[in-house]
Amino acid sequence: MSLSLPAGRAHGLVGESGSGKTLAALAIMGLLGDRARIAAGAIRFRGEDLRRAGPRRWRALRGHGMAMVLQDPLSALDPVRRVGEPIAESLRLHRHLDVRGAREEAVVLLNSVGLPDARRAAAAYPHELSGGMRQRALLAAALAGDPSLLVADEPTTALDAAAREQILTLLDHERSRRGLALLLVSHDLSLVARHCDDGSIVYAGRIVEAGPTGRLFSTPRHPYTAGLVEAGLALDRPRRAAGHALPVIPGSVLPVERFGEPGCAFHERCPRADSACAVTPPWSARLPGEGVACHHPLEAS
Amino acid sequence: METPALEIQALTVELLLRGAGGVRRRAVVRDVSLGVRRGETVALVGESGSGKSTLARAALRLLPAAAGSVAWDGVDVTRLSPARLRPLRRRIQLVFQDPQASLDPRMAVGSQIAEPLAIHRIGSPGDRRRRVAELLDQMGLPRSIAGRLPAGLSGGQRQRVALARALAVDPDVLVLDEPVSALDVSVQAQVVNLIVDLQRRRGLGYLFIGHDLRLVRWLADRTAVFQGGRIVEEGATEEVFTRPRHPYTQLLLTSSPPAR
Repeated sequence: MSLSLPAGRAHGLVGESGSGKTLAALAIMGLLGDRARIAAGAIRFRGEDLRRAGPRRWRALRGHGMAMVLQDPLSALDPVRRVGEPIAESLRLHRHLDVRGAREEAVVLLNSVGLPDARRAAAAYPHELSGGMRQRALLAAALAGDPSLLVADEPTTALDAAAREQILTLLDHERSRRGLALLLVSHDLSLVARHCDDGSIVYAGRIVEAGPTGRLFSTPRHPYTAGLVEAGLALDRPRRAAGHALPVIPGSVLPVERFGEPGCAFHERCPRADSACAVTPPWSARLPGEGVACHHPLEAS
Repeated sequence: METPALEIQALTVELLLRGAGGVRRRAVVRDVSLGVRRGETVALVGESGSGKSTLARAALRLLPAAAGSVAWDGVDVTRLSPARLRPLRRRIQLVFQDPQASLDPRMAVGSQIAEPLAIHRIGSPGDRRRRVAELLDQMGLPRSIAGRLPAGLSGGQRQRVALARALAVDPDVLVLDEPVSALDVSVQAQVVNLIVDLQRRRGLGYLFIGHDLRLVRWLADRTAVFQGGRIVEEGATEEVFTRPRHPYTQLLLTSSPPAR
């Protein structure tokens, strides 16, 4: 998998559950743990090879250089600490503020992410806030170290529609204001198309297509991307009373045990597959950051 | 006029909340009226915590009513004893969001589909086996799956098993609580098409709880908007989506992704 995240731009990593998108995000953050490792390749952050970074360096990087927001804010926040505490702690650590200054700055930060009564929210426990408010608090904690890369893994999946758009708009706003590089990991291609500049489509552990999100959405080249786009668009057409069924990608996602088998991982579900697809399709790039891995890509008509 | 398969009238449901001050009662559903006819899909939308799932559980009589009534096919079940209720329960069945949580991980798929038939003492063991095979066919699942455990199935397959189990006793109404939101994007459409197809063939009434407003618009004949335990707007789906009258509905619609 290859990705490049320029400052100030948002990149969407789109894939279904089990596609490997979250694992990629964890690898970038150095959070693979004991059960996984980077077998090959490199991750460079502002020119620094992160595979050489030791635990001390990682602690300095995480929070200050790079930060992460997870899907479920309740499990990411400590239930017995007041919401403002981890934010203030991060501010003390990374911005060298004193206890009192950090506490004040935490309130400022909570206010800036749109918590209506920031002082009260800072003193509240996580369970006292709504899901949307918790996610805002978590974002404030992530921004406390003034990172240059923010990795957000399904940050709005656990939220309802109203809170979802508010959080995404807030992410847009903070990204452009701070010049953040944002990696937005999501299963939702239309959400990525609305909030990201570039996108990569992940299937069975590989990027099968990448490019500017507008192009990915309007003229997808990989049949899998096309299937995802089609499935989303169909809901905007006249409803089923007219006798329409939703277009379907047949079959189900490749189980992880079968990742890395020779051939195109999508071929069993693909309407364009033929004998050529028994060979793993090479990545064919048109421009840097734009390409497709498919023997029979769709051409713009 | 045709008797609705499910009719809820002026229903209030109270939950008991245990807190520092002892047990308090709180009305989570207030004065709600709603009907579902055969062959009709009625959607409940509203933010999480608005009481949609509580209403659904009261409609199934899994929760008692504090006031108002619930009727299945014209029979008032609000205050029926468990013994009187049991034979009627087959009329209305529930499909949950997460089939992983709703299926028994240690029981073979075929036995789980047959279990409601056994509970309702429908058919001989041989009849039930035939019925399971028939249901698997209708769900587009291979019959060989009957001997497997849920863990060996994909998410889409598990949700098809949950549908088969719910349909085994030939209900009039299915309550579908976020039935596809836990599924992979590329599998959701398959299950949605199945749900539509089953309704067409069996004349089922659906009470559909959903977050995805585009799916609701595509699927539902009527839509009821829930806020704070009350229905604030209800009408034909297209009417509600194109000419929302209540401010909360307007907020809900503007905060969901724009149509492309």
